[in-house]
Amino acid sequence: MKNNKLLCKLFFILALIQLAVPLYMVWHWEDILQNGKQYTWITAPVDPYDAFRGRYIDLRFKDMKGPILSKAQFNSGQTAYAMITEDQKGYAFISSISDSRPEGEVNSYIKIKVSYIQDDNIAHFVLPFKRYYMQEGLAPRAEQAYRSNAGTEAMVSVRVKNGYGVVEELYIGDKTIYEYLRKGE
Amino acid sequence: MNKKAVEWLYEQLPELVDKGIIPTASVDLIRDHYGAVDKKNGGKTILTMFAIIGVILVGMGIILILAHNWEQLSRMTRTLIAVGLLLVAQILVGATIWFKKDSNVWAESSSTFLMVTIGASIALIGQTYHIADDFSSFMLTWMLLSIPLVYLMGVTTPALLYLIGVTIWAINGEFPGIGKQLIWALLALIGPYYYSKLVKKNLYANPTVLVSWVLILCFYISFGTAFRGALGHLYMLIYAALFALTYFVGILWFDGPVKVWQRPFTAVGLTGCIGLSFLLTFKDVWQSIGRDFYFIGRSEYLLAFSLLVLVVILGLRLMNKKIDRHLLFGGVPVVAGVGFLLLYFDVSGINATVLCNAYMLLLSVMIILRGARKGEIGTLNIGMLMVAALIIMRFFDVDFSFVARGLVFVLLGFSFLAANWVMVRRKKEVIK
Repeated sequence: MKNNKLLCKLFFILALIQLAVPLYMVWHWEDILQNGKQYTWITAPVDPYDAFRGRYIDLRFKDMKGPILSKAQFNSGQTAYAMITEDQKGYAFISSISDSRPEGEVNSYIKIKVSYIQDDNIAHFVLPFKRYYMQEGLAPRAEQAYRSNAGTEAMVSVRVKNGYGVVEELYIGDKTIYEYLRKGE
Repeated sequence: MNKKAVEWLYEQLPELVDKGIIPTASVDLIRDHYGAVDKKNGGKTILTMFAIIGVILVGMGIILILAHNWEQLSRMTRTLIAVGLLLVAQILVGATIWFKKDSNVWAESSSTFLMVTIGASIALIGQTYHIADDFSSFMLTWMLLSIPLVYLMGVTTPALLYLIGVTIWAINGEFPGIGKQLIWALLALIGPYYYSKLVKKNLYANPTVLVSWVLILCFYISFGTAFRGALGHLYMLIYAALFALTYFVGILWFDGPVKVWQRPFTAVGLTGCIGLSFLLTFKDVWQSIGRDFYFIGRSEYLLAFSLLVLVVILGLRLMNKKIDRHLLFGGVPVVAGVGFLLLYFDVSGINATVLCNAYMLLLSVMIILRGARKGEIGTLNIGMLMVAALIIMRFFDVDFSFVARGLVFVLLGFSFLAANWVMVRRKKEVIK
């Protein structure tokens, strides 16, 4: 019986850890959504699927490269910090890339993975928010809608805080992707 | 002990006593010797299997339903579903600990359900916040949160799922530097459970055998993934050493008088050794290795050397235990190593090819002799098949006329028939 009690206690601790992980994930991303700075990125969606998380739209962004700020040496797959700036129309882009975390700038940088270096001073990279999960029936239609409206620009609004970014909404023109698809029905 | 045979014997006993073949006293002695046949155990195993399959199906079903990405569900509802699911599964495991501690069916099925639910919960949160973490980091979080269950509950199915999960992590992940070598630490996490709860308890019980098969499979896949960069040229030698090591481990520690499938180390090791020896008899293989023989990196040499040292250590152990007849079958890395040395002097690969053909022939003849000596037609035929395959395959290396090929095939066919005929006759004589 004593053994059983110990087992129960140990399992209780394990259960708490198991619960804490998804709850921490919720808190972390919800905090960014509530308190992060909003940016709008121009994107070109494609539609694959994940066996566990369902269909999603693969977000491809324009100009995924930026000048290297410091004299840092980057390797493929290395983590770097990208400064986010907005152009005259209000769209976000990466203005510079550094190997150290920018100080005092909470909402204007994002952690990225370097893909490769061009001419020693331009880094090509992958942004961490590259998926938009959608209801399985709608995801292929969302991609189709995008392709048949090539003139319309697809945009994604992202909230950024402390180097992390979370996708808030995907837009085609001024409508959310769901509104756009519903309008088309 | 063959349960079915004992059961059959027990059924025969009354008849044998009635006919006066054995005295009544012998019946008790026989029953004392073999003990009671545990019929319940078989039923329980089937029940456990079905329960596990059931919960895995339910769990996967839940994952798929959630993967639909219900547009109507708010972020709060999704969080509640994720946490609620996890809580239900945890309560089930808690209840099992408290009320059904001795029930293997409950322990296995509730733990498996909790493990699948952990994956479903993390996936649902990831989906809610459009997290683009790669699949491998999702798997890693899932597996690390699940592994303690294996130890707390002493369960096999989560152990199997863990092994498969960490292997998927290794295959899918892209890690800079030596990041992928973490797989060895992850695989080692299952070690204490495998040794103390399975191997020490019963080497040939179904859970031990099952985990061993999956462990070997996952090990080989992980090895190929973790050392991808160091397998460019010496891969034949490295895998030869690996198969020989597996075979020696099987002979040293898992060599009981049981069926082949219950000895996964021996089965995989021997099949690998013979298969590789066969591949090394092709001239093309040696030629392709010889083409960029002088570009072999230091890491490749180091890996091959370390494995060969291990082969020698285990080989010496076999010799100490006087079971060195197996050395010949596990000798493929040594032969391959000598082949590589020959290649150093002659990159055309002819010498190495001749050496490996001679080795393969020697192996086949040894198997034939063993089959003939022990009167095992199966073993004899395996040896003959190996010789036949060796001869047939040489036709792909060198051009022979159709008549020559035809004659060789006819000769091979006749020798098969003759060997089998002799063996059957010898067996009949023994029976007489």
